[in-house]
Amino acid sequence: MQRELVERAARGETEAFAALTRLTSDRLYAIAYRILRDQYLAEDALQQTLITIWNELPRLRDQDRFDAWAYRLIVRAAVAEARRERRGAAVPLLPGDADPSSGADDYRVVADRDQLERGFRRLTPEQRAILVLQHYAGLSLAEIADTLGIPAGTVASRLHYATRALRAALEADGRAAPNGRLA
Amino acid sequence: MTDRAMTDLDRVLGDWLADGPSRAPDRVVDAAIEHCRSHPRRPDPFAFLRSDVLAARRSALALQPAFALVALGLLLVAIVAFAAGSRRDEAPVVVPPLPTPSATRPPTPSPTVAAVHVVLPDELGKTVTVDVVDESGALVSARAGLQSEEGDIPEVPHGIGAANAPNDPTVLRLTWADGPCESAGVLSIDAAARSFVLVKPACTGDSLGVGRVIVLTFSRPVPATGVTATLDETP
Repeated sequence: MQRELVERAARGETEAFAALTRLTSDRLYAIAYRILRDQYLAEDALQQTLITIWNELPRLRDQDRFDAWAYRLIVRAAVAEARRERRGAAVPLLPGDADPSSGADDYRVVADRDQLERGFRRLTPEQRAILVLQHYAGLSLAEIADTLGIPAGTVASRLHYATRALRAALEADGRAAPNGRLA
Repeated sequence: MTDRAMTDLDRVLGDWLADGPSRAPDRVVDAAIEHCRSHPRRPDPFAFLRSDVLAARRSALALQPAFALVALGLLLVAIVAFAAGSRRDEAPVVVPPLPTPSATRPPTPSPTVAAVHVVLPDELGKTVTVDVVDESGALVSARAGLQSEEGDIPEVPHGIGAANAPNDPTVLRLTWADGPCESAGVLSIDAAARSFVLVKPACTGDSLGVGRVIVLTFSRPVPATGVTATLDETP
């Protein structure tokens, strides 16, 4: 059904586009919100994405890849909004921020969701996007590579650094649980 | 970071991201629909020449296959016409038939080595691994090496030494001093195969260091003198 809507919308049928928009907007908005952590920025990113889809849909050669394309657009729009707004910008960690007493096998408990929110906000928009695509959208490395139009090796590397940056950001936030271990 | 710690972070992150709004505001959706109704798309006769929105980024000089073939065909015809006009006494030049553009999938990014998992030998039975992540597309293979077999490799205190195999610039050997700890590292190779960054957990203690060697084979020469190798040990 979605493919048929994509074909008809690509031909310029506004009602098909309206139906396609209602079908896909929820998950696109959810991804934008989780990257931006801001309702209004996410709305702007979604609106920009939907307009771009309307304008550029005829150039999508393989209509079965509409979802990958839509995800790519929403990620780009979210990253652009984040850069434009500069809210929640990543704070570069100083060398001494990470707790030197934590060993290689130790990881502090994230008991406070606010702590995770603060740690996540310290990441760059690109790092947040890749974590959201993997952990929320459930995409594999190959699917993320296809969505973002980058090699799979680059995805693996960015994911590694994003995870490492999040861990360092959580440690730097400095609010560990008393027992110091994840459940 | 151990596998368990990574799994715990994945689980916590997944649970946390699952919370949050999952419904787009109606006013945003309605505004987009109203936009398409008030801005009907005009027919584009040159749509077939425009690049696929999902195509990998190309240089500004890259041409679409159909347009490139048309341009090539016109060029061949011009060459033939010129040759026929200047050499009337010679046998006619046979113009090879133009290849018919067929419907093909838009070019997708070339797959690169996503990650090569290398298990390094350890006399104490520790599990020591390195995932090699290559962005250059030139990596053919990665394997563990033994310092005793690989010969002279410059030792760099608190860093990584790099050297080519004797008489083979396509083989690059990296070595570093490690401790007797289990670890899972990631070796990233940049697109130019000049920057090599090994990220691994630090192994502290008073034990004697253990020499680790990883042997990388590329499809083209990678001179060790042009390589920057960095060891980044995380707490």
